[in-house]
Amino acid sequence: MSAEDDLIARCRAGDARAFREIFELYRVDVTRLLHRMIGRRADLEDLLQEVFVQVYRSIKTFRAESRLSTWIYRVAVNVALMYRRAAKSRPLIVATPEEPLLVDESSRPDEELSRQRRVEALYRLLDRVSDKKRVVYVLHELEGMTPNEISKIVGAPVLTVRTRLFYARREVLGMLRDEPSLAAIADELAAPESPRGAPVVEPHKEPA
Amino acid sequence: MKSDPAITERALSRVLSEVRAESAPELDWERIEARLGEEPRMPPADGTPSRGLRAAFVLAAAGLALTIGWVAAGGRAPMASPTLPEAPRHALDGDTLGTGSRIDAITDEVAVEHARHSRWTLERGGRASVTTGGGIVRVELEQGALVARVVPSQKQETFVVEAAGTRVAVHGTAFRVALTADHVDVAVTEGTVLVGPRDRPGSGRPVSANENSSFSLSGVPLVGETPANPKASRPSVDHRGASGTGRPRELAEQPSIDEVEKVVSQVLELGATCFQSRTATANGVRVTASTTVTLRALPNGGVELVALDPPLAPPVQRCVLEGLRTLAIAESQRGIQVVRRMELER
Repeated sequence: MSAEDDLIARCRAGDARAFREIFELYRVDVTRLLHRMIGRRADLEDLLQEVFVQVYRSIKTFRAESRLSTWIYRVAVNVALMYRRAAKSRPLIVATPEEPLLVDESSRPDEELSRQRRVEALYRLLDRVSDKKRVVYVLHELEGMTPNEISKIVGAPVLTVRTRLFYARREVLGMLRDEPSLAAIADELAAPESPRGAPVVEPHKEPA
Repeated sequence: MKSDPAITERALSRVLSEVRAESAPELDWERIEARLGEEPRMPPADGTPSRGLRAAFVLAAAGLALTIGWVAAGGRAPMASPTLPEAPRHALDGDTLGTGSRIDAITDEVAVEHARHSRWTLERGGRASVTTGGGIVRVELEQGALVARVVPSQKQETFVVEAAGTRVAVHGTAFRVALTADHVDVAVTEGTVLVGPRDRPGSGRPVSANENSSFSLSGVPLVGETPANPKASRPSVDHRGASGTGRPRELAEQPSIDEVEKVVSQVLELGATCFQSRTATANGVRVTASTTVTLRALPNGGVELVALDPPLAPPVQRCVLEGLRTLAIAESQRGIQVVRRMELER
């Protein structure tokens, strides 16, 4: 029996320590995935809790046909999708980041601020992509999963995953210039005189 | 500038690598673990109460507290943490209650849950009506006490308790409100609540975690944060059988240490008995629990359970509450509060 099997068996038997181990093993990965699925939202902590409540509730039905991590990711994706669906039917309160942008001491402050703006801009773009396409895009481009792995998480054939991925990429690329901070980086790359490694200077305008 | 697909792709690729390099947001893992441990919707692991999960988290907490302290009733520290809402099996779905629904906790406490928003428990003998709307749950406490845990929110206030002329507004915290005959007691475990006159929302005095304050029925803080008139401070619903009659003219300010120790011993013994009789076990498996009990000796001679932190299983807790009704202590001017560690074994 592998360590993972043992952990699952103990959790199924109601061993709270095993559940805690699972929580500690996967909490960071799940938090990162939720964050990438829903963007900067104040509800991240609640969603993380919801994921692990569902893991606890459903661990008995886990048939070990996939890895535990894949199954937990599936739960997390479902929780994130449910959240997004519910969010559509209620007023959105999140216009500002929940925390001030922190500047990485190791890089230049203006560079770091620009980088954070680009990250925020990408999340805004992803927010405009449909749920199905965004899920595969996030799992592939940001989480580094293969279409095979993604198909197990979203419960769709690999070919469907590849198709969604194709269209998601096309949409994101098509919208890239809607975000000034992302357009600036494309302009910088396009400028022949731009010295390699020079910091990107953002235009002094905010996204509409 | 004209858009070159290859350039756009390179730009996207660069931003994606920046996003990938971002680490996951740091959350308060301990708080989440604690919330998971008391997750009200947590189901039984195999048909039995989810004690296993709770126990693991309880054990972690057990090492922390060796709290023995005497606190004058109404004092500030060590905090009387409210007994937080417990098992959810009989919780009402607050989201389906009609506006103005009245809840009577005649024979037992009643828990109400508003999904992803709050959970509150009307203690036995309490009566309240509830109104929801606009993301705000408003509870009018007509009698008795309630304990609530509210999910933190960015909004200014999401949960309001109105007791007589006092208004308690919160947006993410755990607290207890008790309406007595002549004042309102507010004890806060987490976060901050704003307590003030009912007719002036947004104004009042903040009460923070580990504070226990008293207010007049019109929402004015009472001097010294204890009821000005202890004689009149009996709970509006007295289910302890304590009587105010026969009070000596000259009361001690507080009960003597010996008297309090005697009651504390009785409570610890009661806890052990309840745990023995109400805890299921099989095949000789040893079950242990550790909790901090906060008791209040009331001026009228009654003994009140302020908190069991973490809470015990509902049957055990109910048994302790039942037993407490039979206990009494000498009357005094101010009463006293005591916090003790309770180690239980079955």
